[in-house]
Amino acid sequence: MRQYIIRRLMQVIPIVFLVATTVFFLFQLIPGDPAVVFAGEQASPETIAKVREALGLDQPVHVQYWLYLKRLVKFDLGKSYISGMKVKQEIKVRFPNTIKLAFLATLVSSVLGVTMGVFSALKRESVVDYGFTVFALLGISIPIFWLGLILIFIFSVQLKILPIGGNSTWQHYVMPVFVLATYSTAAILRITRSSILETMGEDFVRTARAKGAREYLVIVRHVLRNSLIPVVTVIGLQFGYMLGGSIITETIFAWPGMGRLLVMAVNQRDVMVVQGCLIVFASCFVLVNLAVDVAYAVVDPRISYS
Amino acid sequence: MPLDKLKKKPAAIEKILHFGNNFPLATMGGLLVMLFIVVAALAPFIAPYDPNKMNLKDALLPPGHPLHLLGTDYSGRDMLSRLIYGARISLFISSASVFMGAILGVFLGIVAAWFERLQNPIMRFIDIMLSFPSIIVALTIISILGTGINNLIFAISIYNIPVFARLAYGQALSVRNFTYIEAAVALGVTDARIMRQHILPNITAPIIVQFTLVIPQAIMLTAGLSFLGLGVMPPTAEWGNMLQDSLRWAVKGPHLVVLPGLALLLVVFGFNTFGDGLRVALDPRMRNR
Repeated sequence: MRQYIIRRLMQVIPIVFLVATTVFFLFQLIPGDPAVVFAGEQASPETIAKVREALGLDQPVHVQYWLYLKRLVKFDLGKSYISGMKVKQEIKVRFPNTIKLAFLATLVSSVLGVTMGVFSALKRESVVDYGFTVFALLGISIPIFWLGLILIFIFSVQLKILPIGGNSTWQHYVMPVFVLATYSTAAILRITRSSILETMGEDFVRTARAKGAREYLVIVRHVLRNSLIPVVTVIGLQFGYMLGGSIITETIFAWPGMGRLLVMAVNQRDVMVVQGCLIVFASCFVLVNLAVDVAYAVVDPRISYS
Repeated sequence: MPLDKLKKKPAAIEKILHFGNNFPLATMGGLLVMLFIVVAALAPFIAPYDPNKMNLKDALLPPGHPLHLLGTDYSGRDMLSRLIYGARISLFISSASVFMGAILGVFLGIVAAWFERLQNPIMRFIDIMLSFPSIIVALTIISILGTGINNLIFAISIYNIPVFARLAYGQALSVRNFTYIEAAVALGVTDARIMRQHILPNITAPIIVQFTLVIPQAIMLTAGLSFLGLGVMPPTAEWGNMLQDSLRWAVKGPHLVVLPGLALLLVVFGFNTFGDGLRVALDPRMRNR
């Protein structure tokens, strides 16, 4: 098990390297000259040439790629062509805000989703089950930007009890976390319910009951543990969804995070910032997937990792 | 009673009636989806107005106006017509992109789980693809290729490949150790047949759940990107950009904000409830419960 984790950790480096490479070459395809963007449209040809030299853009692509990798190893993500700020600095300020938001939303949705899913499955076809099922269907169906706008209208404009945007007090967290968690709560609820129902039909559950195990033990030891694989997968995928969802949520609630930074950078065609954000996002994702794979091995002894 | 009246109805109709009886909510969802599909397909024939025809004299009419059933927007364009054309764009983009992604993804996932030698290269490749969230894949491709419908479809289908591959892989991995697979191997069944006949049917339930979660997700992603101003661009009527476009008018004409979101909610809700019922109906293990 330990070896498996170490081996997977070793694989993180080449994956991040491949991601960085893909991003680099993809962005070579963008039309337009970054030196012109950096120097400004009105700049003289001499200035543009100087800027091009300063940015290393006069070098052939493979040399640029080599310089890019060398900078990356030192965690240097370059400078924004638009603002001239260091990309690393811009990300450093905003990254914790996005992680806080995504982590809180994942926590809220996992706890709520699994709890509601378990109740829903155990009390199958009861009022509770129907209630949760309808909630789940609405939760995965509601557009989060629309939900966000409507919540702002109700709680900020009409009732004036929650702030519209920013992240300075805990009240600022309520709406963004809730909005971001809605979809995932519903998705986790659904997969938990369906997975538990499927497990309850298995032979080993019948055997456990037949040998006289108490219902509580049957549920905890046999049903829950065996139903967790799909749930773990979905929670893992949800964290990714959270980082992506943060882009829209952050835009609606003026949250000073990486999502908003990325949208602004795409709008302004600020290549270096987009590149930096993508590499950071991607690294997070690879680590989350690693955690999901390890969690598989913990919850399902049937999967062997020799 | 004449004999032929007693004859069984054709199997397909029988199945549909059976489905309708057993899954009323899902049937409702299915009808909702069908309604949207019909509306989308026939948009040019049923839309009462040209969705882009401005008429400043009739701007910001509330819903319920005799000439404009759902009112008009800030430049006097008919909301109903715009919503109808919006359905057309959304359904086209989402179905095209999810279908392409799912076929490739499930194939890759099962192959990776079955052939141990392919496991590492395929799943590492999938990991790399997965390391980009949906909206970020889309943003990347759009920042390179520019906005537009074709680029959007391309972006969404690329993101769907790893989603399906990873799920199919995880499921197939736990299925492949079962005795009936061992039995099939012992009988000399070919690899292709094992993957198709023994693994695929046993992992369809979660894949269909995923499919039903992903089609509406693609609809939502389309709307979300358009909302951010990076998807379908105005003046083309699309629910997301209609929302963004009318934010300034939210107080004077709340229907401009409420209606596109409601349309989105309805079609996504329809897909989700329908898919939910379909999941139960299609799973051989759940059929007799």
